[in-house]
Amino acid sequence: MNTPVIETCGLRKTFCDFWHRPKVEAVVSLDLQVQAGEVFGLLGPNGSGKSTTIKLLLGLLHPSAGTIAVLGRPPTDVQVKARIGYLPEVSHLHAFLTPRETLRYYGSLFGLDAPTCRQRTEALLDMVDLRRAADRPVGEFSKGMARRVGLAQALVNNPDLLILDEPTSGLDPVACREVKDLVRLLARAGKTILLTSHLLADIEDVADRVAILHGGRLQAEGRVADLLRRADAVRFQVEGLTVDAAAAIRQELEMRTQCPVALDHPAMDLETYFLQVVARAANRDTVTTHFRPAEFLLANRGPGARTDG
Amino acid sequence: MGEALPSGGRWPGKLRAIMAVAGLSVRAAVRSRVVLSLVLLLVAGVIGIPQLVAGDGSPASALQVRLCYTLATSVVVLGLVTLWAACAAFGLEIDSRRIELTAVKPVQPWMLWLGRWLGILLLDAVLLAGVAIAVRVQLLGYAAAGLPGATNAAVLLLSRAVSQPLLPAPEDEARQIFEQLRQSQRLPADEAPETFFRKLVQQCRYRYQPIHPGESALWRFPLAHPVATDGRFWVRLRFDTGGQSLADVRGLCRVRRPGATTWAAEVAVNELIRNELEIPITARSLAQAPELEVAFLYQADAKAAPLLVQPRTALAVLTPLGTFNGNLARVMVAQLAILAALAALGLTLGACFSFPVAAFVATAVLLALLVTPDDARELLPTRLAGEAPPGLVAGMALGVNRTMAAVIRPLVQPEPLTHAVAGERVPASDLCQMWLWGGAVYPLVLAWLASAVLRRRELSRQMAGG
Repeated sequence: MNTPVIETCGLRKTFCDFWHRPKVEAVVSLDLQVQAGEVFGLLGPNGSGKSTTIKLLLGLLHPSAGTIAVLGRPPTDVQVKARIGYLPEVSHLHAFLTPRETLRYYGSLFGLDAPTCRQRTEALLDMVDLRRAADRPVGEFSKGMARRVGLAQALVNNPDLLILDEPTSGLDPVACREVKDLVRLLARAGKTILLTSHLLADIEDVADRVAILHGGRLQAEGRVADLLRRADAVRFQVEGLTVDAAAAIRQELEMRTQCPVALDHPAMDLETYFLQVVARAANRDTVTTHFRPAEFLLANRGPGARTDG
Repeated sequence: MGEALPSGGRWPGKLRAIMAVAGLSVRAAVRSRVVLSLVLLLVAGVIGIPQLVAGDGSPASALQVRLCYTLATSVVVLGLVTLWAACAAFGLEIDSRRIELTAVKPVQPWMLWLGRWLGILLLDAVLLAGVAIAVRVQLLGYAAAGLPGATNAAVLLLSRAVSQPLLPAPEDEARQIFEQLRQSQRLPADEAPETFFRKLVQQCRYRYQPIHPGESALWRFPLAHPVATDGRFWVRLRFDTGGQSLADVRGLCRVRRPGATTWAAEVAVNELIRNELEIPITARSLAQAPELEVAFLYQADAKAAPLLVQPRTALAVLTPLGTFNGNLARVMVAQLAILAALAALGLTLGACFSFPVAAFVATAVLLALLVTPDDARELLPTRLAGEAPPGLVAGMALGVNRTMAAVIRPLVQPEPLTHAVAGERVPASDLCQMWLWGGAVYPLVLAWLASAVLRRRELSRQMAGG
């Protein structure tokens, strides 16, 4: 975990107007390191510089100052691009192409030969569960379905570094969970993943480390567990405790700490509850769509992939 | 880490990427119904123009309408669409930010450019072939329907090699005259010798040869292609009579092999002609002849004005070479070279500007290219076009116009359509010249420019941090 896959140093991006007068400072003195095999979350409110940072890392924007190294090279290097998968915030797919044609097109841009391209395409179509819609134009798709195609195209080259800008945007909770499962699986397969999301829970679920941007500046960075941990508080979780016993324990704790003690029932989050309901319903009815990331990863495992999953 | 992809620097991978981009261009055009609309427009042109333009009723005029006007209109329509579609190929892609997904893939800007260019060219080739087939079918129908006058349409659908008379080069002729004048000390004193020599060259090039009544003129033609085995060929003459727009040509056109004492064929001519006169001759004894001697005996009244002929421009012997269909294909190949250049221009403008700006600049450039330097001088106010030096703006406009005309001259100088309408085989040298410039030199320069711009341009411009 020592080789930084992404490294920025003093990165700055200033957008200028037509007369080259500075107008917006989108990214200011950003120092960032993402290690190999890490799932790194980039958080921040709207306009904080997340997407600009991603576009700088992809070479779509040029930095005003500072340096960027992606996989040890400048981001505009084609050797680097061959090892990156990118899902933009808005998929920007060709509306007249079908998912199958879309994947084959992007596969060809990576120089994949026809049999490999065909095999990857079919595996990815299975993975994002679009086989039944594989010959319909993408322009007819819902946002969620288009997102699946976008995700599949990001994986067509079996990338070492995956950059996902709002990957769960437009997806239903089931698909959201499946994307998160996919991210975890990819991470276990040795991929480095950089993702942004407005949904903090999504990042919390999958990211090893996060960075929080505001006003283009890095405000906080570290391991999720470290950042969220409250060292000054302790929580007990006990099952089968009676009301009287709980009251007695509370009284004892308040007496010892001389502070108010919170007592509540643990609750699952809404996503978990929703998924349980859907799973129960699925057992009764026919399930419509779901990702199958594991099958894809097994079929397209890279030579250096880890096998601890 | 993941597997190494074959795209890095290997040609098969690059070629696959280029062909994928080309295929995408074709799909985009076909599925967005651009092609369908274009086909309808072309069909309307091919069918409609002969109905709208009557011509003078002669077979030659009918051929001109069906071949020249129809093809020229089709090429203009295709040219405009090619130019705008090429502007859109990059312009719209960048404006809609769809290029983001492509730009992060391991493809160089020149590969994207080349793929787009090939895609557009492929579509143009298919559409041009369709136009050619439609025109040919129309001509077949016209020939089958019979023709007004004696001439049959099939006679006009020809492909012939053009041979010019054997004459000294204008420079050599001018040098000889110059030497004679210098030796006799009659060179003009008020003019630099170099300037005077240049004028002499021009005079020799366009020198008229007078043929007085009762006189005969003889020219020798080394043939570009020997006379056919059936002995069929044509002699083309264009006469001017002093001060008259119509030439009253009465005489005898005679042909023989060089050195022969008797004429192999004699054709009487009695025509009042405005343009050139093409005399069909069949002489089996001249079959496979590599050279011919052609004489014209002017048999008008002794008081008639002499016939004037410019031997370097107004005389030719035409021998059958190839087929009309082959010649039509050559015309299309030549037109495709022009479309290739337009596509290259549009793509590069689309890479430099947003689509509306690129389309506007492309149209302005096209219109500016259509204005020849002579037209430009006429368009300017008389004061500027006359002796007074042009103003700054007019001078700059003239300079830009002259530069643009010089840049595109190699591409537009050959006139394949004119050759085809005249039944002349489009010279291979013209095709090579047009493809060298339209299909190689301009695209290479424009691709390099577009590639440099795309490398420097931010393909995901946004004004707010997000």
